[in-house]
Amino acid sequence: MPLVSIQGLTVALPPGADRDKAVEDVSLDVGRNEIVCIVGESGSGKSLTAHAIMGLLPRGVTAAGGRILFDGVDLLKETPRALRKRRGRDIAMIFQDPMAALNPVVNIGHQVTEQIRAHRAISEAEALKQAGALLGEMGLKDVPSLLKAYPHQLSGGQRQRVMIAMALSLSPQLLIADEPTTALDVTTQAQILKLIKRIQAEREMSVLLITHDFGVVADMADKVAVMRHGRVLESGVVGEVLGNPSHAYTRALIAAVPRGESQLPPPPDVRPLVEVSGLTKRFRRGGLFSRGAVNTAVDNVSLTLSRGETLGIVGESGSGKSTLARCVIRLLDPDAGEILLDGADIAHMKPGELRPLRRRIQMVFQDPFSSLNPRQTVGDIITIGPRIYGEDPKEARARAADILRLVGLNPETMNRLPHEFSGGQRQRIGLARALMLRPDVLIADEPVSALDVTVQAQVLQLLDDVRRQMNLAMLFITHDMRVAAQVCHRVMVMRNGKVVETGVTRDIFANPSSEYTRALVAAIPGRQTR
Amino acid sequence: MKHHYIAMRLVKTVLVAIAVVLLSFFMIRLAPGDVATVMAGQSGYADEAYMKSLRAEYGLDQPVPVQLWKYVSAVAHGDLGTSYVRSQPVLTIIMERLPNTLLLDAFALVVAAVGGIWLGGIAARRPGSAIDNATTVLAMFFYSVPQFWLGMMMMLVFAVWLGWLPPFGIETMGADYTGLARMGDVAVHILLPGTTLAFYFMASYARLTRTAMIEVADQDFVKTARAKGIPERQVARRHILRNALIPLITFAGLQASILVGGNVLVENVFSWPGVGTLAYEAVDSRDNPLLLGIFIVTAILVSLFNLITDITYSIADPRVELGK
Repeated sequence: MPLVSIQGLTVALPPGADRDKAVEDVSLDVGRNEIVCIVGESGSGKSLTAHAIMGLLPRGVTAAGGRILFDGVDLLKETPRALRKRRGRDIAMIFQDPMAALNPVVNIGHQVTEQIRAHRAISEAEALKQAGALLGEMGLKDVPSLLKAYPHQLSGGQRQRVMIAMALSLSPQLLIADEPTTALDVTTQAQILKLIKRIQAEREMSVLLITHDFGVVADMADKVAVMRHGRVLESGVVGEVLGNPSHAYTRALIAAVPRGESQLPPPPDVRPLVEVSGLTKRFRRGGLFSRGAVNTAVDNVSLTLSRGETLGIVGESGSGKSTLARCVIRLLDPDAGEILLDGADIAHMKPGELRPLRRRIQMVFQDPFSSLNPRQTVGDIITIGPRIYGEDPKEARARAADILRLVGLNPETMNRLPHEFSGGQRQRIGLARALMLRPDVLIADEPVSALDVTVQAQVLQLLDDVRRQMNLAMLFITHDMRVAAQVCHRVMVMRNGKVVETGVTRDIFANPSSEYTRALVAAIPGRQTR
Repeated sequence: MKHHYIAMRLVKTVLVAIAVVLLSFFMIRLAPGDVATVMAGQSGYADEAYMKSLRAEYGLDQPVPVQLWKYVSAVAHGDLGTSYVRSQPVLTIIMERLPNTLLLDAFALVVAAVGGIWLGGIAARRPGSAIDNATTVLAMFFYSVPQFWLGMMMMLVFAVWLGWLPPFGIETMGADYTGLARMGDVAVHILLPGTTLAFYFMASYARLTRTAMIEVADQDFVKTARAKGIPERQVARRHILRNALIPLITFAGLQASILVGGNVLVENVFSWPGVGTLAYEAVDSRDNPLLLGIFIVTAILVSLFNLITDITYSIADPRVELGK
């Protein structure tokens, strides 16, 4: 008998939602001592399925049918009290963003002991001892001070290790991990996945891992279930599903995962359009009476960028890649160095001189939800730039229709508001806005990291097409090595504000010269198995 | 770091006090009339010579810069001057009244916070329910009615009609209670003005608590707490309420600052012998030294309350560090 057997589970959404059922007739087994992955894009119902097992569906969302057998007991029929006792003891769960998942005002030690003491009658001191041992087992150093620390004082990786320690504190039979690495840096991601795998093997637990990433599936799963629109499309042993997917959607999902092997040829050897040298940006903290610490976000960075070329800037959070981009487009004023655009130094231009040139460098932002003004129509959003530069409104609208077609949107969308569009469509609107100004340089700051994999692949393709058609110089900022490999001619790896190495994408992947780049490449999920 | 920060804040407090002295010194003089006209009016008869002698007596005949210099140098030595009307040192008068105001404030603050957080907590448990709507309506009512009107109605109902509580003052006149009996007497007297003040702020507390708790209840760490199998009561208290109370600290600090200057309306309605009634009397009699003294003492207390608020905040929320 499998440990968990979900049979015909249906989860109903409250009246007024965009659909009646978030999960429909889902059946799935999790055996003892195995890792099962549920893969799917946003809205697939993968997360709600996991929450249904925990009995933690959001308010208004209910399990409307089916059974969830845990060790033969139907969890959907258990009393709230019995289910409460089971949570944390028999079934534990970790979440996507460990910063949000830990209480910001309670120290780490207390958050771990709280769980132990909710289920076992032991003293705080005894619980604290157990908590310390667990944290050590998770590979955390300096445990005594860690127990007294607060979540914000830890790194992302440390926080997720604390979450895992907490989840394991009562030796549950099942660990549910809901996108446990999505919010973490790439190298940390790989470590956390390794940790989960190690713990699973040592404790012979069952793990239900929710992910959108087939790379993670390949590395972790024994079995996999692919979900879409609330249904399981196919499931089976991981080798079979990955090697011989029976469903077209599974094939599309697998194909959409960037390979992490660069196909692009080395860049054309022409005179650079943008030349950045010795760029430095510092941030100071402090007030009227105090001189605060100085943080050098970008430290003496130089780069060149030619027409028709995509330069990838790759780094983890805090590497300074976004600050660099904001300096190049002069949203931030650099403290030192020069930025030559066609030979003119825009780093030190006054606002008045800079204004006519601003049009030539445009940016696409990471979050397609917050980067578009929710009260402006698409038409206004994309034509306001040209109109500011004096273009006739009628002409601008006519051109906007062409640009919308270019980015794959219907020109009739011009009269609609941003909230009516999906994430991928919004990112297309953002791109159309940038292109309306006929830029020479396009800066794309993590343009696909908020998007689902299949949408991600489409947007990447679009960016590459547009770059080719308009002969743009593109600065592509990403934390994802796989994405960089797909669209960049050259890659520059950054860490702590400094350039680690720069080179042709193919060479960097095949033969990274620095330890750090090697670690980044090694951390790409799904690499070992391919 | 902490000591350095607190020292800097105290320096700023002094700067604020100086600014308040300068500003109010001039602003008070913008109002028409002075103590001489008031006294002349009270005596019923006054000729030019008498007015002139009065002004000379209080130094009002000297040029404004000279008056300012004299005043500022006296204040720098801790001398807030002498009241025109009462012929007593200003500081002595204020210090006599200040404890009464602080007592009333503390009472109102505690009642408002405890009652408001309790009501807000109930409302937050079921947003949109009858009990939520009832607290919302009640809160809006107390928030929108004028305090003096509410005070008069309370007095009418509980003191005049029902006769349960004394209508005004801080203690029974002529009773000369001592010890516990006196404390009991004051406690009975504080109920009406205290609750009148408290109702107004309680409404705000209830609304703030409700909003904050609903917001916090949606956060991931609350889900984590439930996933850990923590009993619901403990989730509500340790995880939801504990985080929801943090923004209330700022509000309590602001409220204390507003109250410390004495609530002119409520204190007057109930003849509460606090700084509020004192300020009213000082304005009425053009008693400039007294009024200025009240301003300075209030400004310093407000600064101190702000500092206490910030320190409390940094204790309640470990993410907040003083001076950052």
